[in-house]
Amino acid sequence: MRQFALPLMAIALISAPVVCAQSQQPLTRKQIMESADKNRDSKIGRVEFLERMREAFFFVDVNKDGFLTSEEYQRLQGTDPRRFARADRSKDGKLSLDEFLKAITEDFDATDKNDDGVLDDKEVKAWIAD
Amino acid sequence: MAIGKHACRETLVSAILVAFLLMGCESMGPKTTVGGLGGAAAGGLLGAALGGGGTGIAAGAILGGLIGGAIGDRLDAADREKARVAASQAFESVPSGQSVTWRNPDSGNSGVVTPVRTYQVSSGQYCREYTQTIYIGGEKHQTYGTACRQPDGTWKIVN
Repeated sequence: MRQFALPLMAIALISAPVVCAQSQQPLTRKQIMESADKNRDSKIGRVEFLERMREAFFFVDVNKDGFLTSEEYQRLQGTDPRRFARADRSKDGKLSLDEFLKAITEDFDATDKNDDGVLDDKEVKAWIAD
Repeated sequence: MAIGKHACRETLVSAILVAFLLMGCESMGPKTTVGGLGGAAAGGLLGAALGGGGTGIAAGAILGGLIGGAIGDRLDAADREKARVAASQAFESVPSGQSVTWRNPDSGNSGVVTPVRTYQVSSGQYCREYTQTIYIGGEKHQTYGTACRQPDGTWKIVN
């Protein structure tokens, strides 16, 4: 599974400019990586990552009801409805912030190969090469 | 016939072994995951968090004391209105760490509103911590507060 997930992550972050869900502004890989590396230590920490993802949840939740619907989620590039369905543990057709963060933490953990809680340069490089 | 049975048994054993190996690939090792939203989605989400850009919903009004006390007394109505519009835009549309500025050329006063953290309370309501810097006659006044989004789209200053 990881063999598929990591290249997709790399493609999204490095190759193609990612288009913001709402503003449709293309973002470079550098911008995206810097957005997560808040303390500018050239690493993406788990706390930094989740904090940024909490922020993403706010912006993707268009109607601000506190949940992500499939429609809201699929406005993003690269989303997979099957993964959305798996992340929806309560099977109510929408993601709570808790469900969302659990799913996104699994993505982080898959990339953090040495389990030190941060994505360092080596891991990011391996991630790119994978 | 005996050979056929033997071959059949070998095939069955091989199939079972292959099945076990495939199952092992899914579950072995702490780094293997079958969940998550996927890397492509993570990239898009990080982009959304960076880009902000609003929701398509017009920024709502600001309730409560955005600018209170002595600082508020030194601003005119136009200053306060510009500050409210800037704050509303910042809370609704701007990622944490980015700012919205306002300036009133008539009074010479100006300000900057910067969300610094976004979170959700147990009811699902969104709140944003922010810093606000106001320049009055060249003097800098900085405040820190929290605004929470109400169901009607307005933002209420809670502290």
